[in-house]
Amino acid sequence: VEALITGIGMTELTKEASSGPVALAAQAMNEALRDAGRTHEEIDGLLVHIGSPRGQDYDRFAESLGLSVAFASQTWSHGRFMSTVLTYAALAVTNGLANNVACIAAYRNSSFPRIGEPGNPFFHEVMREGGGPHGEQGGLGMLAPSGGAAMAWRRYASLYTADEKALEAVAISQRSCAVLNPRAALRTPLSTTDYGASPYVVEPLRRFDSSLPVDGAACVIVSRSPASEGSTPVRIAGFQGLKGGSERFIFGPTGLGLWNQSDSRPTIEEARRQSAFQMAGISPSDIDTFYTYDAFTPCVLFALEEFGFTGPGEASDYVIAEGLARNGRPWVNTNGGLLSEGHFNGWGHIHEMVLQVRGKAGARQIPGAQVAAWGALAGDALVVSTA
Amino acid sequence: MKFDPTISPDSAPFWRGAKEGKLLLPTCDSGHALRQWMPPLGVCPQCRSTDIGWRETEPRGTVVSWVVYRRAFAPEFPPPYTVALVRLLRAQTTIPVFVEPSDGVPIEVGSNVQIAFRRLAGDEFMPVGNVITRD
Repeated sequence: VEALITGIGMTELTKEASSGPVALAAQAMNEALRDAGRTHEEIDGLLVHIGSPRGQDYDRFAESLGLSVAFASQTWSHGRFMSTVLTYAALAVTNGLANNVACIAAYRNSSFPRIGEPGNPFFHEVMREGGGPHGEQGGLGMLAPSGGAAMAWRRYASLYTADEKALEAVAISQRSCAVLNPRAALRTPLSTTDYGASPYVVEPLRRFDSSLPVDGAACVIVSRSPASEGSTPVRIAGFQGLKGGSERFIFGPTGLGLWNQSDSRPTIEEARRQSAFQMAGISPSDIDTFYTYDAFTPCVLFALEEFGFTGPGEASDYVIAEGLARNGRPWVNTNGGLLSEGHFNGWGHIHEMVLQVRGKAGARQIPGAQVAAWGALAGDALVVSTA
Repeated sequence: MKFDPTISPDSAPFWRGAKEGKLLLPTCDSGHALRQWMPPLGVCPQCRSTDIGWRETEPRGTVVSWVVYRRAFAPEFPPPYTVALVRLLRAQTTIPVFVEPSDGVPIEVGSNVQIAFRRLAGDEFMPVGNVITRD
């Protein structure tokens, strides 16, 4: 694969954006094109993550943003597809479907009732035959994704005698990053007192174990080659798709015994063998900074195990002992994650990954970072590195 | 009930069984050991046969995990209420159930649960679990 991220742009993430998705996307795209040294006329591919009604669909975006593209597509209208969208873009430029693909996520959550409440655009999924994509069961009152996440944490905590202190450490570590991130929605430091005082939403998970839905836009330009001068491309070095099957649960690790999962967790050696890592020619120890889909705090612990940073059942003790820090500096979800930067479905994470590899992450910068990796419980992964 | 699951001919027998108080599961034995599973969507996940039957299973199992909804998401479900995921005693699968308010037996991972079907307003039924004393 020969694909570069040549430009990134992102609005601030807020609770009540003063614009709708198209105008938000226009701002993010203008910034991304300036960053790439490209023009709107050079964009010949368009990939959209979140469609209408939270966001907009590819046809409206293309027309309203004044684009003329020959390769367009769109994924479903909520999370989990960020790295898959970038993978499509990388494959498209590698195989000659397009030269410069604009990947867009832009939406306004505050136009709608909250997630888990009737009237939210994807509430219908609680009535999906066989159950919703996060373990929802409408007929039983399992209405919100937090229900499935709470199921996974209770099971894990019971199997490994894990302590809530691990969740607290994740929440506090990620908030400490968001405090340093001007794009983040939550920039007030979080204390252990704040965490302990936060109410249960779906017990055993608290409000501060849950991410914050926000409004905003992000644009990532994926190109076959960089513009002549002025831009700082990063390489898409490896990727793997979402995994499916009875072992997968969006908010839990494989083999936890939930739904139709087995009770057999992968060993750390198995977890370290990820095709995205192999494609990039790296092992987990080469990863300078790691990013994951942290819709809820336990997801971070599970992802550390799922991608071979710790053995099964060990992440909670690791995080209690060391936080999410190496040499005293946070190295996981350094943007603040969905938890504290705001739930932007991973687009804030990829923006941060590019900044880190460019050495432009400001106060959050990990000195000398060359390899940033995304790995999510859905099974997908993406590695970016210096070009 | 406002949030009924979508029912197609593939899942309808489960709900017909519920109406009679029976825990009916999709069942397949074509070329492999008898297999029963949830959710019922008309295909055997082992052999992919769509020629499947339905058999009653013992409505008992153990708690895989459980949660308590503390925040109201919809007026139809005022908090707090408990939902448990139950691994069935005699089938290789799990079923989520609404946990009836306990008579003092606390719920834990591993608790034994007896499953029944509660009739709701209209002609709807909901799988409910009652925690029974641990063996």
